Amino acid sequence: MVEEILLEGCKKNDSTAQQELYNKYSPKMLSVCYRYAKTREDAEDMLQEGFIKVFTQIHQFESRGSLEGWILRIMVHTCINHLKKNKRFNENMDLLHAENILIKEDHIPATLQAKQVVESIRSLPIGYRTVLNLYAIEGYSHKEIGAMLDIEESTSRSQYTRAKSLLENILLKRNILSQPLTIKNWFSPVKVK
Amino acid sequence: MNKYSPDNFETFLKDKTKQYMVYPSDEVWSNIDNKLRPKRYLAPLFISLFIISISSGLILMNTKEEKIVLSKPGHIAYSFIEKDLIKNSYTKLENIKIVAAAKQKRKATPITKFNTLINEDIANVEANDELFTEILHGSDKIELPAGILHSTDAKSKNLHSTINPDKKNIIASTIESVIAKARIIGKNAQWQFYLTPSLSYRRLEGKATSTAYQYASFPYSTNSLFARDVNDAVKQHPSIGFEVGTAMRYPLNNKLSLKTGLQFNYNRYQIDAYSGVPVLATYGMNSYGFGGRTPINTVSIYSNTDGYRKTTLNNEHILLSIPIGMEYEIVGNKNLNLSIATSIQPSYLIGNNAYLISTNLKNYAKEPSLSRRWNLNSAVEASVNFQSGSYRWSIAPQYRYQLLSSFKNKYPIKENLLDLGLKFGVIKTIR
Repeated sequence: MVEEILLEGCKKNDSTAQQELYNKYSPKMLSVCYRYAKTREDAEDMLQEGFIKVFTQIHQFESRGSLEGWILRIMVHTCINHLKKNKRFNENMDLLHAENILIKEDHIPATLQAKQVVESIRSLPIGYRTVLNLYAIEGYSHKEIGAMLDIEESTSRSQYTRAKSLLENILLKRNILSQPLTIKNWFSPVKVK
Repeated sequence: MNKYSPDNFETFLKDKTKQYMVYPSDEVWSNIDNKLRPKRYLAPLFISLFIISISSGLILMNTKEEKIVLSKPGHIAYSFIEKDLIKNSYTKLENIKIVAAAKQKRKATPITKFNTLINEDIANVEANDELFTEILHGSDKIELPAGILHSTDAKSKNLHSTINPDKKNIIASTIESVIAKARIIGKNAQWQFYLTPSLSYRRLEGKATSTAYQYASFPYSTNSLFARDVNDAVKQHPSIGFEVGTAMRYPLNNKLSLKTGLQFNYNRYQIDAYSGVPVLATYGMNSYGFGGRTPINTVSIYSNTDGYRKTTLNNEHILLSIPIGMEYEIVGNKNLNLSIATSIQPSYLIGNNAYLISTNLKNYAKEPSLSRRWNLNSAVEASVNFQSGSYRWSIAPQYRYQLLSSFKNKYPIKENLLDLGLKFGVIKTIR
């Protein structure tokens, strides 16, 4: 009921309703933007741009899906567009040498596990973390990711495989994940470079 | 520690990222709000401030010129005489060879400095700009050159008779317009600039509408939960506002002056409220005629009775006014005096950020459609004025009251803004 009132208010361009909708979803959406962005400031820029799109296009929302899901899709597309504008994003999309990537551990606080995971994701190269975010967390298929990022579907797959491997190693090294007890690993533990 | 498994890696990431929240800074919403609703009042605000600045600047520039003229002993301020008018007039005279006649008449007529200049140098008038300057700044009074227009000398008469009557009229009308202009400006109009920090508040009037009021069975109470009168429901505080403006003062006599100008007002007061879940706030309309009016519904997250947390709402109004008023000097002399003034101020609401109370007196929300754009304010002040150099300074306690409600008549609650301020002004005489 509350969400319906907010939705109606936002469709009437009512500032109170818009602010309430923003208050409700902005922390969740900023955490999404934060996973894609290089800095917190970039994440807030993405959030701002995304919510402006939400409020200007809200009359297009049909109540078949959830409002949160609709806002999330807008945010993710806004993040991708934002990254595409950044030349470094395209350069990093071609980066296939995960072994040579240096992880700055001192940037990763170790207080909360959730935060450690997010910061670990953010420590990945931009191309890797974008594909990983889209596939593993947002749930897009490699075909959709390819279309969104203007890359081949196979490139998306390979990027994800490498991103996943790199992230696993980071999480293992930081004791966020425990080692699987397999015979192979028993004799040859994972080494992180 | 989480068990590692390649199969649940994505699930693990999803769960962890969902648990992580990042809270945006306040600036983000403010930027979004600004993008969605550009401040419409900013443009008129800047335009009005621009007008005030430009007019102030022009007046100051003009008064500087006046100072130069007055600083020369024996000179009077007839600088408003257009040089071209005189120049053209004398050019015409020269064209009809009036020089000789003027020279002959010189002996018979009492010669003013002005006439001397004309008679001796009239042939050089067109070419000599310095002469014009001397005429303008060096004459004690403007006189029609008697030697030219009223010559009794036969030769002169003949010459005079050859002057086209239209050309004579040009000279006469020029002099007349100059004198008329002198009379108007001789009134000693004064320009004033002022700034007034103020304590802003409002007067509220109205009761919960019978249809909206849900507690009719309860007796009258000062408790906001069951309030029927808006003054029992609303908890509000004054806040700081200000006023800035420019005005022209036209002395009607030694004691009385007429004032008008352009003024910008910022009024603000605060309301205590509570943040809560969004609800529909209803603004019931006054019933006029058969069937009444349709209530307005809008979303409200602020209540005046309960909620998640206490909050303070800032109601702001930005107005542009044209004050028209009178000032009367009660006592004192030129250097120090006390005067009282009153004005009526047609005002336009440039913008506002105002939360209106719903007609059941329970919730606050913004409903700009109920705001009245044109209004009428009145102000009274008592000022102490003192002269310092060429400027006159004034300090005046001032009370300003909005005569019509801030809201349209269909809204049953009435609000009259009021400001109690201390006006600081600087006044410059324009001669």
